[in-house]
Amino acid sequence: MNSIWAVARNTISQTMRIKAAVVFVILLVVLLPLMSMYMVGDGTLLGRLQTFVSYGLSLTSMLLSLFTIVVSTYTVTSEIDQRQIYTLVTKPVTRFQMLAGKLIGVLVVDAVLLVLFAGSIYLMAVNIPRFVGAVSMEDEMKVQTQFLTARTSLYPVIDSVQIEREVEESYARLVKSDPTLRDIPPQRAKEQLRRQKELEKRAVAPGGQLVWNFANVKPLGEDELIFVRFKYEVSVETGDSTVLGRWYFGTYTKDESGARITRPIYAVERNDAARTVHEIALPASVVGLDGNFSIVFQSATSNIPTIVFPLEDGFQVLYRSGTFQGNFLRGSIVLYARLAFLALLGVSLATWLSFPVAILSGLVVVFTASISGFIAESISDTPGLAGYLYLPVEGLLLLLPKFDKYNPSSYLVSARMLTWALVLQVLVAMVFIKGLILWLFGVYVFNRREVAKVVV
Amino acid sequence: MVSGDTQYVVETFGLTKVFADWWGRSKVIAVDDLNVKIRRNEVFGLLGPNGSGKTTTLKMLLSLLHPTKGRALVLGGDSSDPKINAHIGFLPEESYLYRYLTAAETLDFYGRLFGLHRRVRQERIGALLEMVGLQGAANRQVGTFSKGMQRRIGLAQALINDPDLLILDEPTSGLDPIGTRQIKDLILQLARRGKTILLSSHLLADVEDVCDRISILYGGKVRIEGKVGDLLRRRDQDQILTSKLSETALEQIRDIASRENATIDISSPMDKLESFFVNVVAQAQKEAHATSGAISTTGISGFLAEEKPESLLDELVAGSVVAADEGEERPATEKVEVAEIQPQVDKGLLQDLSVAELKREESPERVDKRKPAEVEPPKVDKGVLDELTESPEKKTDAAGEDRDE
Repeated sequence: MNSIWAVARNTISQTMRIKAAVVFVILLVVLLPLMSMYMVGDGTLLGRLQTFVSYGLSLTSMLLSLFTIVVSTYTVTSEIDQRQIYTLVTKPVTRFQMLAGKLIGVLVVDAVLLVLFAGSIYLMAVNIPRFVGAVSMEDEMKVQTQFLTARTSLYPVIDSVQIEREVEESYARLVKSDPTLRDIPPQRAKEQLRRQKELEKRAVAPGGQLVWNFANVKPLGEDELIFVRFKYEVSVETGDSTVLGRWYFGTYTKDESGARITRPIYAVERNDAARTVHEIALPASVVGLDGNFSIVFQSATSNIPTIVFPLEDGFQVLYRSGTFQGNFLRGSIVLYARLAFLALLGVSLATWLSFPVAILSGLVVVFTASISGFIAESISDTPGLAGYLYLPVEGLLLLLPKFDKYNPSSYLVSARMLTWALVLQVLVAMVFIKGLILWLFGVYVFNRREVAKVVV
Repeated sequence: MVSGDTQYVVETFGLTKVFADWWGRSKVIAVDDLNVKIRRNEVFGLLGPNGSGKTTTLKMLLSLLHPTKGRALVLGGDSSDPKINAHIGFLPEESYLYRYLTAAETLDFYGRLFGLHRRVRQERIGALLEMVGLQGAANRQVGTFSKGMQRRIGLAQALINDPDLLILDEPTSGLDPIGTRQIKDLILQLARRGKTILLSSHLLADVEDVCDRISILYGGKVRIEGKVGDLLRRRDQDQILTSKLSETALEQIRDIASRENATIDISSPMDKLESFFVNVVAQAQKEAHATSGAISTTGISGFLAEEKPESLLDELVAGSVVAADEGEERPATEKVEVAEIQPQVDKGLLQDLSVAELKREESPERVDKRKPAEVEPPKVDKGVLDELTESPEKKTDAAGEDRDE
C-alpha cells in the first residue's frame, strides 16, 4: 500500500509539474465565465441556463476526457521511454502496485479537477438568475420548475406484443393478396412492417387522434406540477411550420369500494412550432390516485397530412422527484465514472503501446463511445452485407462504455431525474466491469513485459 | 536479508540472452551461457568492451530482461520478488531520474517504495545528500542537474535502503576525477561493511582499484575470470621501492643485478594523473579559493557505516546522523570540494578521506563516527604510487590481448 501511494504521489507531482493540469485549468477558468456571460441560448433565462450548463458540462467532460487519456498514457509510457522504470521495478514494487499507483494518481487529479469545474459550473448556474437581473415571474417560474429541479421522466410504453400480432396479421394478409411477396425474405418483410406499425403508433393523420396511457406516475404531492414534453415532426411543411392541436389530460380512478372518483380533466388547444421541444405544465391532481394518467391528442390542422412524434424525444411525461443539487452531484459522479474508465483504459493501453499509439487508440475509444448509439443504429439500419457486420460491431460496442447514452448534461438540461440506481449501474458497467477488465489485461501484459527491451 | 544457507549472493546458470527481431530473425547473442558466482562481501567487476553483454547481464539479474535460457539467482531467489529486491541497490548505466522531482523528493520517493518510516527517510535523505555532496541542491529539480550531479543522486537512491547487494552499471561514467575517486572509495568502504558489490565498467583503472574479482566478457562470453591481483601480477619480475638512494648505492644494486643475470631499470616513480589532479584540487581548496555548487565529500553516510545493520533504523531514529549543513549557501553550479586523498587503494586509508568536510563539521556525534581531520598537506606515498604507475601497462596488455581474440 505504501508503494502504491508513493507511485500515486509521484504521478500527481508529475501531472502538476509538467503543467498538463495547469493548461486545462486555465482553459476552463477562462472559458467557463465567458460562457456564463455570453451564452444566451434562445434569449429566455431558461434557455440561457440550459445552454450554459449543457456546453459547460460538455466542455468540462471533453477536456477532462482528453486530459485523462493523455496523462494516464503518458505517466506509464514516459516511465518506460525515459527508463525511470529501471530503478522503479527493481525496488520492492510489483508491477501491479506500480500500475495501481499510476491509476490512483490520475484518479486523484481527475477528482480534484472535476470537483473544481463541476463546482464552478454549479455555482455559476444557480447564480446566473441573480446576475441577469429583471426577469418576468413567468421566466423565473419556468426556471424553477423546468431547470432547477430533477424530474422523473416516463416514456409511453410500446406494446410490442400487440405490434407483433399486427405484423403477423398484415404479413399473412399481404402474402395472400400478392404471392410475389414470397420472394422477399419473410424476416425483411416483417421488419419493414414492424417499423411501419411502430410509426403508426406515433403518427396522427389530419383530424385523427392519438392516445397515450401512463402508469405509476407518482408526483411528490397534489400541489406539484406535471409536465408533458413533446416535439412534432411534420411530413409536409406548412407556411409557418406550426401545428394546431387539441389536448386532453385526465384519468378515471376508483376508490377502495370500487366507486368511481372523478378527477379533473384538462383540455387545451395550442399552436406549436414543429421540430421544437415544448412543455405543457399541469397540476398533479390530473393523475389518478392509482398513478394512472391518459393523454389524448387531436390534430386540428387539416393542411398537414401527418404529424409524427419522434421516438427519442417525441413524447414524455415529467414530474418533480428530486433536487437540482442532488441531480448535479449524481451527474458529476457519472462524469467521474467516464474519467475513471478512461484512466483505466489509458494505463492499460500504455502497458503495451507507445505513447502516440496509445493516445490515438484512447481518443478513438472516446469518440466511438460518444457515438456508440449512432454506430449501432447505422449498422443495423444498413441492409445487405453491412447487416452481417452488425453482430461483430455490436460485440465490440459492448466492450465500450456508452458515453452518449449516459450523458449527464442531457439529464441536467432537461432536469430529468438521474437516479442513484442509474449512477450505480453506470459505475458498475463502465468502471468495475469494462474498465477493470481492460486494466487487468494491462497488468497481465505488463507483468510479462521485459521493461528493458528496446522496441523500435 | 540473505538467507544463511546461500553460498553465493549472485549465481547464474547458463544465462543466455538472444535478441531477435519482430519476425524472430537476425538474432544477436548478447549473453552466451554465462556462469558467474559472486560470493558475499565480494567486489566483483564485469568488464568488457562496448556491446560485450555487461549491461544485458545486469538487466537479467534484475529481471528487467528475461533470459532466453538459463537462470539467475540473486540473494538466493528471483530479483523480481519484493522480498529479494528490498535488499538490492541498483544504479543504472545512466541515472534515469524524474526530472520534475527535486533531489530530496527523489530520495523520498524511493524511500517510500521501501516502506521506510518518515523519520528514517528524512534522516537518510539528509545523510545521503550530504554524502554525495548535494545537500545544497536538495530542493532543486533534478532535471536541472549536470550529469555528474544526476549520477550522484542516482547513487544516493541506490543506497537509500542500505542494500546488501549493490549493482552498479558503469558507476563512474559522467563523473569528474574527484567524483570517480569518491565512488571508488565508497565502494571500498561499503565492501568493508560487508556489502556485496557487482559493478560493470569499461574504465579499467576504476575496476582495478576496487574489484576483488573480475570477469572479462567479450561477445557475451566470459573470456577470463579471477582475482585481480592474480591476473595482473607479473611473475617474472620483481620491483623494489626505496626512498632516494645515493649514486653508490645504486651502483651496488646494479652490480648485484648483473651478477644474477637480470636486467635492471632504475628511475623515479611517476605520480598517477588521478592522484595528481586530486591533490591539486585539494590544495586549491585548502587555500580557500571561492567555489560554487555541490559539495563533494568522501565520507560514508552514517547509516551505511553502521557496523550492525540490524540496529540501523534505531540509530537513525535516535538522531545520530547529522542533518545536512544548512548554514552555508550553496550556489547553483556543481562545486567540487575535496578531501585530502592519498593516492592509495589501501582500505585503511579511506577513513582519512573525509577530512575537508569534517573540518567544517561541528556536531560532536558526527565527528565521533569518523576519524579526526588531518591537517597536514597530503604526502605522496611513493611505494603505493609506484605500484599504481606500474600497473596501467599491465592492464593495457591484458585488455589488448582480450581484444585480439
